[in-house]
Amino acid sequence: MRPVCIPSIFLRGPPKRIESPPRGLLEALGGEPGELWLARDYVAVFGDEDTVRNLQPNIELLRAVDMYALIVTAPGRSVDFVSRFFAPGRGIAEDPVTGSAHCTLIPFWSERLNKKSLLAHQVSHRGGELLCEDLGERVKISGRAVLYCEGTIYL
Amino acid sequence: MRIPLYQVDAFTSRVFGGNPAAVCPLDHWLGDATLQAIAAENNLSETAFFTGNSDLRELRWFTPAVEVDLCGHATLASAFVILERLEPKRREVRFCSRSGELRVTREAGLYSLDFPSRPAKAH
Repeated sequence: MRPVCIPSIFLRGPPKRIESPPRGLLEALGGEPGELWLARDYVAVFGDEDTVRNLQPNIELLRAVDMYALIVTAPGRSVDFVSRFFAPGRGIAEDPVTGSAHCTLIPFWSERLNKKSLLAHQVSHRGGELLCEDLGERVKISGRAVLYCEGTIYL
Repeated sequence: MRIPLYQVDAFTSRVFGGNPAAVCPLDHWLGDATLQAIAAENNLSETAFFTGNSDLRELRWFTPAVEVDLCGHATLASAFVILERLEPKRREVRFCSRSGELRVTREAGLYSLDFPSRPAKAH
């Protein structure tokens, strides 16, 4: 189906912590987050960057959790926040850099840090850098890119 | 038929970093099964396809398994291909997608995506 260009409607909701995580999430995470939030994805908030970097979730257990995806995040040492993204139920054990996760992370950290412009690192093995701006109902996500290869498909 | 194929590492300034995406500019839409087969063959997390001209392009994203509603890094990668290779004099690209209109602007090598906000909320 070809895309139909309609205005996107993504309403803000008042944020509230969830007290009871979905079944199996904490076991799969291998660590207990300070807070858990929900948008499209679950957002597990940790206290520091190293915990997020060193986290080794059990992907098989995570696949069984009823969710779209899991974001883990923490304040960064040299940047405003860091994150990682796991969606084993969608065929992605860990995504190296995830623009769409920042549609949720930007409003979250913008409010928490009281800043509209934020520098973010996704601390996967490959690593990614995102410059972020909270524009209210929309977000601006900026980054660089580099050409790896160029070719031709023959059909 | 020949289709150009680019592989771009997005959200990074070095090869092998960031998130790799495949990008295929098309003269016209091919059947969904063909688009899906190309994405499966590429076997990257996302392959982006676009059609259209400078004013407005239609953009779609496929994983190796399904078509998806929104993909940031493949959108950045598509804008990179357009603004670096296809139309280097331009500074902005407008896409029409399943997630509405998406704009990407380039300034000093930095690509900016204007995306819908999706805040976390009560659960």
